[in-house]
Amino acid sequence: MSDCTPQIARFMQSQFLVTFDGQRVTPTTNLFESGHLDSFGFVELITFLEREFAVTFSDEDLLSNRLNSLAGVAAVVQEKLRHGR
Amino acid sequence: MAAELPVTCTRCVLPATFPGITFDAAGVCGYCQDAATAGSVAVARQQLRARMEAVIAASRGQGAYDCIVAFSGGKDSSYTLQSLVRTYQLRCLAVTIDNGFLSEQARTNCTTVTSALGVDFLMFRPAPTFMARMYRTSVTAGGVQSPAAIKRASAICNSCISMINTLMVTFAIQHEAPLIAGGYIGGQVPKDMAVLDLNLIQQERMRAPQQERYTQLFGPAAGHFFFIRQSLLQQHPNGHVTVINPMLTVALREEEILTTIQALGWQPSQDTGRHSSNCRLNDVGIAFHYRQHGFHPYVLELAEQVRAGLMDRAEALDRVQHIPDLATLTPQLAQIGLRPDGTAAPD
Repeated sequence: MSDCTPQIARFMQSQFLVTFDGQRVTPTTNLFESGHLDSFGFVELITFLEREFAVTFSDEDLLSNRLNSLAGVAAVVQEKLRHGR
Repeated sequence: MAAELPVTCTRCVLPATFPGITFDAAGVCGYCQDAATAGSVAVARQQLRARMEAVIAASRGQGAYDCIVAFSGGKDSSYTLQSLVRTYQLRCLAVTIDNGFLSEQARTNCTTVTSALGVDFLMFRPAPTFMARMYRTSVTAGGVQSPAAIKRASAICNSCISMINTLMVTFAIQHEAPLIAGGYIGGQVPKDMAVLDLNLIQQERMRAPQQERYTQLFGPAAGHFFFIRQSLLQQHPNGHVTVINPMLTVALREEEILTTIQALGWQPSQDTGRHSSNCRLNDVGIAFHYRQHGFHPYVLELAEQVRAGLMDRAEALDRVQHIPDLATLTPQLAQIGLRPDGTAAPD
């Protein structure tokens, strides 16, 4: 299974205008805390992930605090792909 | 003032100055290329409408009201309200947030339209001192909202929209309404916001990291206007409300909207500029946005209208080419404590 991180990173860069420069913003930066992601952006992110990777997100996923960084989002998607959901 | 247009997409009206935009060899932007491969817009719209109607059917009769409607007295929210009442027979509470710049005609329209539709109506006016500080800081501080928010609206509008969205959730909880409706049209918000289930706890977790910053920027009242108190959230029976935006599920030209609402007694405002039918501050936001970012804050929305065949490209180009002159907006600037150069005026 290929790593979905680059695809998600490209989406975040183009949609949220975030640059993962490895210093100010890294893959583990909480994008809500850094101010790059707002509630509209989160809707766009979830829609993109569901469409591109054919996964769905439960309330448990949304409340898990994992969908707040590139690394967290990629890990959740990867787990879903591995478990076929 | 007619702005000199930068290189613009040959199909819609998005300019080369728009953040993250790309063009192919024919000068067609990435948004138009994506739209061309996305399948039928009409089918997608029909699917969104079916989803919205299923949610409406399941939500009816649960609370004191079925739906809180964010109602500005402008044309789109007036059309939305009549659609929810007449087409979907929902028990609506129309809520208007008076930001201190509501035109007199919009105020009259609020009363006229809600009376014609037999709808309960509430007007809420935050303290003018808070609103002035919020608008002024949105212009002077820069970067108050997320970087991508500049694609959708001016800094002034983004702050106002964010506050109104929070207040609508608050009213929905207080009035036990399972639905919140807005009058957003294509390009103003993501299309999936035609029907959006909001997990209230998750929403507040997303916003919580910004609370301290907002309080520093806008003052202590920001906590009340941009964030929902835990005690209020705990009152909610299931922690979910659903946001619907019916206008994202239909294809309407502006003339059709006007014909429908004018039959209810709605009249256009004369003092709100070209892009708003209710707010006298809108042009200030447009002018500062263009100065700071080099593109018109309505261009994404107008490009979407062109792409959907709901507006002629020439008309859209004409609209984004005319940038309001701040020298003609001094009363509004004075009210929020700003000089035309964008700096804060002394008290």
